[in-house]
Amino acid sequence: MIEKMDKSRFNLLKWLTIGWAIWFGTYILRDWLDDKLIFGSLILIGFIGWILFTLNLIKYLKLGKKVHSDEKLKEALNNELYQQYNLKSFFWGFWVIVAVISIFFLISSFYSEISAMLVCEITLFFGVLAPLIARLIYNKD
Amino acid sequence: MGSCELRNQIRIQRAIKNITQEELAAEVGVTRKTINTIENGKFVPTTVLAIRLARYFGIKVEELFELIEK
Repeated sequence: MIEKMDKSRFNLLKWLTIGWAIWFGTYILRDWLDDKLIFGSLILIGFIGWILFTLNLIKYLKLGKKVHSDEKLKEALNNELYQQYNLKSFFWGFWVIVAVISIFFLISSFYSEISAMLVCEITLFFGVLAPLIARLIYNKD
Repeated sequence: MGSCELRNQIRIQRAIKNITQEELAAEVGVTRKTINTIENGKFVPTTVLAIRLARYFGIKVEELFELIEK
């Protein structure tokens, strides 16, 4: 039961990450394209990514609720090891956000002005993606 | 005080009992990953888990875990 839930949590996190990368990745790319055909394809791919992300996020939250409501599951699936993984993953997220903002800061200082919207989109994209990927790597054997 | 290392006998005890990491994990109520990281010295278990493991193997905690001062 515990092992099965751990595996299912890992898979949900994996698909959630893939969904986010597809959905928000295509969302950012759409701003740079003029070709209507590619633009249309990106909307479709992005929609699939959004569905993947949303469905897996709902399932992940449901699983989290189940784990927190059961003492045995909480002890097994949210013990110090997993809390350590969460902390390390957020640590990675923080430094990736700092790095992305620093790069934008450098570009805007030396070369040209950048759209605030683009900065927000890219920072958000990497800010969410980095801890998710880090969590998957830590959780893997 | 210098650095220290926590060595354990879990692999040996598992071999004596002839059980897998997954079976041991189920017995003490944790994931296989938790047992694997403890066994490889990547994760220091909580006191509760250390006692549970020692009880399962029928030995003292000090026999299962050894603190090596460097």
